[in-house]
Amino acid sequence: MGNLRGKRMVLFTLFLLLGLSGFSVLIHIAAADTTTLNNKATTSANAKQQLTVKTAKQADVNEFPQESLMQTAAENTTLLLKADHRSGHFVVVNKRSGKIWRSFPDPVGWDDKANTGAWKVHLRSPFMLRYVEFSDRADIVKESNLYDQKGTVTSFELTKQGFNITYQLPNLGFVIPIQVKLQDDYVETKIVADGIQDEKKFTAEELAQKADPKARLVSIRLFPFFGAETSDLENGYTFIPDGSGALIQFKKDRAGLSSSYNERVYGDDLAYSKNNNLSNREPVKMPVFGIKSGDQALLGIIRGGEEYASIAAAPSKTFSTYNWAAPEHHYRFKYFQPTNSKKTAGFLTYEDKMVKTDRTTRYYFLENEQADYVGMAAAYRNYLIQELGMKPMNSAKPQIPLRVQLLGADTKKGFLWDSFLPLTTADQATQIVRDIKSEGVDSMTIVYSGWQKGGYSSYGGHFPVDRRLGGNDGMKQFIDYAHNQGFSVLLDAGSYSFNNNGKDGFRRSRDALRDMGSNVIELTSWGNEGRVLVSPALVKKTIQKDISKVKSLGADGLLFGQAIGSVLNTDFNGNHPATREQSKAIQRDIFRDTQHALGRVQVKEGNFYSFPYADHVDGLFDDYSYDLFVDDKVPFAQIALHGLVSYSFDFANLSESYTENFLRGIEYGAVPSFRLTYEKSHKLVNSKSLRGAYSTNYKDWVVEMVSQYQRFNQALADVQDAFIIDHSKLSDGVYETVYSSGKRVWVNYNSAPYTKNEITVKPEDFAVVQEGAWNE
Amino acid sequence: MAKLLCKRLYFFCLICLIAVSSLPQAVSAGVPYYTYSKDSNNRTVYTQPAYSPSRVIGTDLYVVNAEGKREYSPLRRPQDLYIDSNDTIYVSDTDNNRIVVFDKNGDLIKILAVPESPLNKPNGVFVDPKGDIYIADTGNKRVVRLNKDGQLLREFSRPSSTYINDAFVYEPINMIVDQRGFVYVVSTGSYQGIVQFDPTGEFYGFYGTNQTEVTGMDVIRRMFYTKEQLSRQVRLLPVTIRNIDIDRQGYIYTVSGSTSEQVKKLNISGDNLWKGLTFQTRERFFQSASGEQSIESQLNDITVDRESNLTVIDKTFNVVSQYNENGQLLFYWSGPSFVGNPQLGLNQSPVAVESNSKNELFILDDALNLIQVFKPTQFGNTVHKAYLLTQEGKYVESEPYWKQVIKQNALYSPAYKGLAQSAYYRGNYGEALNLYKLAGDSQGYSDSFWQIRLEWFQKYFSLMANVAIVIGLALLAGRKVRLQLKAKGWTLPLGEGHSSISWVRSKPANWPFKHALYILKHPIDGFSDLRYLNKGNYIKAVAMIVGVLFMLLVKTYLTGFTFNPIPADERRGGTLIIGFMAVFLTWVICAYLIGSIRQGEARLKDVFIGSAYALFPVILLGLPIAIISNIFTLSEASIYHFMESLVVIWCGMLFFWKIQSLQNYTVGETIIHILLTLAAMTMLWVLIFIMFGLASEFLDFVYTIYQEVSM
Repeated sequence: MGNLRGKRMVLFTLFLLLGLSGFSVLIHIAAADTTTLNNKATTSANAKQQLTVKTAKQADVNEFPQESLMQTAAENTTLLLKADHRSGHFVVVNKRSGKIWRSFPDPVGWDDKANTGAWKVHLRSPFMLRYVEFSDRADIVKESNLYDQKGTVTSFELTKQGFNITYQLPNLGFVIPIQVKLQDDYVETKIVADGIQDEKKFTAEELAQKADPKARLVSIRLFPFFGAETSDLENGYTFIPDGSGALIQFKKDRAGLSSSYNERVYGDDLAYSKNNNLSNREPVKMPVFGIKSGDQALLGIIRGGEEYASIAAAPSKTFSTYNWAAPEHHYRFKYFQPTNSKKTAGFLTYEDKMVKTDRTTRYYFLENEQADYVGMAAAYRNYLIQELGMKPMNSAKPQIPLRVQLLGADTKKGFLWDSFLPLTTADQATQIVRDIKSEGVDSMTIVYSGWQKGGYSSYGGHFPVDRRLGGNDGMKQFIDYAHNQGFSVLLDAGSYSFNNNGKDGFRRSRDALRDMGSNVIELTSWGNEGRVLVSPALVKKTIQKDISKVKSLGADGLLFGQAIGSVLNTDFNGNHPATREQSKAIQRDIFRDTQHALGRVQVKEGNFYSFPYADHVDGLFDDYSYDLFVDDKVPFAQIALHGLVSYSFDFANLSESYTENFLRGIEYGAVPSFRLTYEKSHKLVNSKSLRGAYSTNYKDWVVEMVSQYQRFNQALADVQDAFIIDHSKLSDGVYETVYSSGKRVWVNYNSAPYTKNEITVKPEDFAVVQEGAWNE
Repeated sequence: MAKLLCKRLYFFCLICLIAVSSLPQAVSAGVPYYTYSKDSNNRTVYTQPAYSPSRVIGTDLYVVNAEGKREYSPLRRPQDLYIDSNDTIYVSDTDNNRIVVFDKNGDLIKILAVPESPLNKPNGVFVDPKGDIYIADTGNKRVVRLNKDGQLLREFSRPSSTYINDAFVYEPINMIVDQRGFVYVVSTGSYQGIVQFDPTGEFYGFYGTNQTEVTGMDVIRRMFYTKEQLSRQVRLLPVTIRNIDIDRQGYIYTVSGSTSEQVKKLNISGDNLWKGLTFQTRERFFQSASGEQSIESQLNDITVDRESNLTVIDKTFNVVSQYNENGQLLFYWSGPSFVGNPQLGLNQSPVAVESNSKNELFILDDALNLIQVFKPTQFGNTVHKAYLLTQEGKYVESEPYWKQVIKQNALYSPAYKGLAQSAYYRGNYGEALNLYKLAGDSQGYSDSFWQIRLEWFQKYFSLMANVAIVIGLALLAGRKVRLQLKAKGWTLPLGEGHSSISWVRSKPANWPFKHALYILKHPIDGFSDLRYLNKGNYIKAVAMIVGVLFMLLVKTYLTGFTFNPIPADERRGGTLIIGFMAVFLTWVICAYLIGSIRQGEARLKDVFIGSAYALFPVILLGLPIAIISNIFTLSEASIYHFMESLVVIWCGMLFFWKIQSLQNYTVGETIIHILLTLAAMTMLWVLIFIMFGLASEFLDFVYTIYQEVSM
């Protein structure tokens, strides 16, 4: 009890402090995380212990299924699917090349001594699962698999395209039906929502003997070792969707760092999150993963139920001798149930109700020259075109536009009251655009932020445009001016995700997003308190209402972001409930409607489901999470997207390293972008939420903008609508990007020049190598 | 009623909020830590990273074992590293009992194990300019000196000297060698200081001993404890030195776990040049307040780079801080890090730090068992360069660099100070004034203002002198004329003394300030008139309080930057108003209550009105003081502070007379009354806090029960 109280005090203090300043944000997370981690550590230790005891010897366990004993389940012109009816494992054979992909680890390289304990069994099981025993500890999961649970296959039937199999775990009372289908060039696995059961009906006798442990399913990793390989040959890598894409090379020896990757697709769900369990890594924007070994590779795409999935991966020597990457499908989530009014005390528990949706994963098979991350990205691009309906760009402008984000206004803390802090009025915006144009920039896309009534930190009641910036008329004049110059203007509308002033008919108690514990979620960052997330349903309504006003201003479109396209949350608000899946649908509707009404819509840090509607992605990740087990970061997302949609990275004037930002923009085929104000930069020190924007005065950056505009056009103007067909490392710090038009761009990050085939790239510079300039 | 309900609901909802902080605003991708600095007002400012993680060293370590096979042999709990002038990296691989030597790219050169006299848990490593390697061989309780090929030259074992008592523990953990060849050895837990050996290996003395830290509690114990009790106490000993470094000029730096002077810069005779500077990292983070056991920060190691910047690492908070030659903070950075998720650029347990000739930082981590390498970013480099030039007094040369810094980060306020120094140096005081204001530096501001004022005086001296002469002559002439007129029996319609009185009289009857002026002249009578002649009423008193509040706000707002170097957005008028009202009202209530039990005659009304009138000097002098603060510099600070204290003393005296007069007390009674009132005020506040605490605990309790029942 004393301990609990102590903890409560700690949490309470933290909580209080959080309100005090935005800086505490990160500290808070850091502080609390250690405690959960400690918990986590003990959890897994417990689980491991239990499982070591449970590890039983069974006939099935000690050997992988024999391919020769498998029966053919489906076949098409290129691929053959063979299945093992005892385990549900299968292999896919390319009929032409004879290459084989297995749903279980490659038996070659199996080391009986190195794979011990629980993982020895995990590796052979067709699935791993986690469950919680509510009668025991409602916050601790146990990890297990088919064999440890003495599970059986209750039915196996061949279908036209593959097979269906149902597993039963008698001890826990779980029934898990799986479908596997072979189609065209892929295999699709599905955990069927309809048949899944996780509540055991005990007989009276059984109950008399022992109490119902109330075991409930938490998550399933289906075929977690599909394509898994050991590092013996060091001839491949695991691909994880961290940042723009990251590779974990197969390495025999790794410094004693037990490290693994497990991140929610589309990032954390705030309705289940507390500060202390928010992830420290870049959120996953695309539900993909892959493994390459030798001259064959596998790309997995989570196609259905991806919003409830996470992507897990581990290098060899972390858990076992295998490198693997797999989707983990979650059915129950942990949340914090507060028990006092300050929400400081409480307990963690898994939710009672199961999230029942189909969970589909597709596996594409690549070989030879396709078998690398470029090939995976190309396969994903095809998927985006065919399945998500993205279209190749067909009408690229002759010049790459310079992207300029203008900050309209913010709030400033004052002596007696907070006051308005104008940063760029509509007239000043006209002047900025005129000045940049007069320096020779002929193509520009302008995004106006903080235009709404009250400025950047005012959420809710956006219209009319703040009169101190020029009002609707001033904005209209500015837009007309920009249009006359041939530039387009979009309004930043990510702020519709929040409300802090009760406008737009918003009532905090009625319309705010609520978490699983039915609390309103308030966001605090950088001293900007009092923002709450608005229920997705209401966001949609508000945008529908305002869209005609945007149109009447003449704006070309809206730029969404935050909880519209970037952050995905469940809403437990009883007035407008929405599951994460429904939330995603609402967000897509907003994009579709806006595109329909205005013609253009763009997204900042968007998830991939928003891309079919967007014609530009702002702040696309170009970096990774700096995990030590990651060996290379690769432009997977960019290779998949280039030619479908344009994208830009961090604002060049606010980037951490100017040269690197520029060079990466060239290497990854991006669009240059800047964030500007008319006012002097140091005025922002007093602003409520823009203190992180430390250098925005446009006059400081005109020269740089013009130079970047020219250099980007020099490098990339003619390949805006081309696909990236190859990307490789020529030498340490020197990279080559090849476009479908045949153009090659070499980028040198080093401080020394790089020469190859009589072509020299200057230090920290790039060179365009046209088609035919040299032969491979 | 509905409105009230609404308000209540709103209040309830406010309580119900769970604050989730996420969705970082500006930075989407990038280094996994945040970099900050402090401006002159000690406010944290956010900056782009000054260093970016570039690579790790020590993960691919293979040795050839006895059987001749290539074997993976990672570092195990390494404790120290050293980088020599050729950028060769020496790591004391403590648990492997060896020294690992890497070249500047991090490739293994050799492994030193001293086979003729094997190392045992070596902790520290140092290389002198000749290439001789010194190793603190902790397990063997010695320091060994090897030549550059790894052959043993000399051992420095436990020194024997009459100055060393038996209790002294000699377990070397680190050492440095100065230009003269003197060896300075840090020994585990030695409070005597650093053991200094002369080049021949003879004990030379203790060096850089820390002061004993005595807390208030210790002093009280000293006073009251008996000798016996004192002897049972843990003896107060100086804090031990944790680590040591030497820069190219021969200054020696020590790191200790003390609460002050954590980092000392010592000259050759052992004097600390950085007295009074603090290097505490704990208070920079709000985390410090969390819970009963606050974590002490643990500064671990220090390095001085080629540009004389000092980098200190803190093991418990995982903070890397960088200071310039004078101990001013440049940056500090930290990020979340916890076991299980090792990230490039994030330390888990940093134990040693070094820098090389490119000013890259190498941080050794004994949990990750590797070296993290950080390279300065463009921003970091520019800041270093600018500081270096300013330090050297090359103000004008530093200007383009400071401008570059501001272009890259307009919120990095030390840059404004650099520019201000340059402007001041060039004699452009107006510009310096503005820049110092931006930098939040009141001393610099005041100096610039002094120069501007001087220039102004010099420019207008002749004019002013002329004007003064003209006025003087005119006055003389006027007096003469008046005397002449008087002599003739005429009077001027506006005499001097009459005018002010008629001005006051022309105001409406309830104008409170007239009587206030009277009180200033005749306090005792004036206060009793408040009651007995009904000179005061509540409206007048409230008007007086409003006046005082208004003047306080005006004063805070108008006081010159020299005397109030807090930026406008940090001054909160609301707090001032609430604070003043809270103190005033509790004073009135307590004074009345105390008076009523101590035979005082004043009614509550009298206390209220009297107290309000006693604050009149604030209204009278507030504005003049605020105005004066704008034309004074810090050299006239004593006058300014005198005027400020004058107001306080005057008010205090008026309060005293007010009590005497209205309560009808003697001087002694009045003093007792005041003391009792102050005590009562304290009690009242304690009570209020307790009540609030209990009430909220009770509500919390009810809510908890409701939650548990309803679930």
